[in-house]
Amino acid sequence: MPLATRHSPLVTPYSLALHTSTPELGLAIAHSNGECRHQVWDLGRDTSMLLHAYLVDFLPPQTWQDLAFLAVAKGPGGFTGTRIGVVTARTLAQQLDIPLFGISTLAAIAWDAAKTLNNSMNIAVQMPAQRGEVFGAIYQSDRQQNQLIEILPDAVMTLEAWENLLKKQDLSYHLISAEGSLGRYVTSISEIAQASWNHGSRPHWSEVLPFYGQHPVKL
Amino acid sequence: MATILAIETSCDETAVAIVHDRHILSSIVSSQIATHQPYGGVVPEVASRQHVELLNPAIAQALSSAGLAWSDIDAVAATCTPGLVGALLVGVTAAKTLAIVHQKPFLGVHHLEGHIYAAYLSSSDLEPPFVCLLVSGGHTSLILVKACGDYETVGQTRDDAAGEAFDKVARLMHLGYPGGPILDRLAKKGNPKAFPLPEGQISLPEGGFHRYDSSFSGLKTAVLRLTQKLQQDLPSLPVEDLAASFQETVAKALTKRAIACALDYGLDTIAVGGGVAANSGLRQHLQAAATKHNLRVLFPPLEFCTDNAAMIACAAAEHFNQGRRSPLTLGVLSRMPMSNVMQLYNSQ
Repeated sequence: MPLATRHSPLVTPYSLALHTSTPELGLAIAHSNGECRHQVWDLGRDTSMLLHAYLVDFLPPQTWQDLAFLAVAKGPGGFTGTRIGVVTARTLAQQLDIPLFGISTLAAIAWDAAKTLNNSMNIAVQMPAQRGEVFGAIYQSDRQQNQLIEILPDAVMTLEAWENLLKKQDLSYHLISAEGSLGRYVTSISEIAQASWNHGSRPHWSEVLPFYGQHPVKL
Repeated sequence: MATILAIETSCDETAVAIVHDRHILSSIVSSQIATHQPYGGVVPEVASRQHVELLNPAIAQALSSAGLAWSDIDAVAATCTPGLVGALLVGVTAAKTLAIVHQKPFLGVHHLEGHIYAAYLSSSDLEPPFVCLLVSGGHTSLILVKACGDYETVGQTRDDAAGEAFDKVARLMHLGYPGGPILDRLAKKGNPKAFPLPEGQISLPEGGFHRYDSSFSGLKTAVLRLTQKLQQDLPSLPVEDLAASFQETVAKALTKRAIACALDYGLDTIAVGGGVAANSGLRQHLQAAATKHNLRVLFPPLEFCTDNAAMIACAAAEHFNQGRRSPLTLGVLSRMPMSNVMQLYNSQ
């Protein structure tokens, strides 16, 4: 895994996170000391047109050269919206030669919920998918290590299969049903990436692709 | 003299090129043909996904092949219309990102204007006015090129595009995808007079036929009927003769209209663009007819007949040199008439 050799976190302590998986655009710039500014816009279908203009306006007073790493919501979510964010983030990371973290949209929701939940409780997140199916994932919060443990990775399945899977869980769980706009979770995207960065992870942009869960052709 | 990095992702080719005015410094094309072959055609969502994976490596390769740094690039361009919306979005999003991170101007380019400019890549002295015969899987048009950004479409297909007809005929003969190169290869071994096929014509209300508009749907149906009959009568289909007869009919129809258009408008040059410009039958027929009428006909090099980013960069360079830029808020469109090309730019 290539390291971001151009920057050290002490010299360039900032990171940029993008969330475009739903009709909301979420942008966040965080300092390694935990300070974070973020903004969410409800752009509907205009995200692709407006993203870059908003990004240029949002970046100052930081500059591209201030960024140590990037993070992006990689889905699940709308195929086109997710793709726009991932393409932007991959291209920025490639050109700036810095790491890129692709963070699950569902993990971001679980991360946010974990802040207020019992440490030992699993967090199940479900979200509607196409063709009447659901995206589902189960996480556990590890506050000591400041990370999310993936119990069941993001997957798409029928609602019945998801419900059966939940019934089989040994531990109690907190179920979150995610719907609608999720741009506000851009801060969670940023925090998860920062935690991974602090643990020494330096993912290359080429590893980050949208998570679709479904193939467009029913074979 | 502008140096442009351009991206083309309107359909199933992921392409990046760097062009200095009309000279190619690098041209990278990653084809998705093998990916779409199992489906018998392009699946839009699959194309978009492939573009995401292929585009960034192609950008790096284009820069390294050209031996250039970003300081050498004057602007970034991308095809923004017409095409598959999801596929276009990948290229335009990447191009806008490159533009903001390197603080370069951004230009959106009309895909068909790119095909017109493919002719400039081999004939750098070419200047308007001239006629462009644009023939591909999605388009069959006769365009009067009056100036950069000033185009008038005077003829077009009323149903299938010529390239689409090649694909459909190849499919009904179970020859695979894409149909154009397969039929062209078979046609070289066949007899073009073996099966007389009807040339589609567009009737005018006042009588007679439209001089420039074309139709290929009826021709495709005629090949279907003929194929069904031959399958009943013969142990195996004479695919080479069928391919040659079909190709001959299409080539003649396109040639007749292109020559008529050039002569009617008093223009001495016909530039051909699009994937069907690679077809050997069309090249032979049009070249012979043009010579007979003392017209100049320009075909792009074979590699620049199909979708590529060099032609997009070439068109963008011309607009850039004339002070035109696109806003960062430019969207993508599945369709846009050639006459509206200037809506993509703010003059500066």
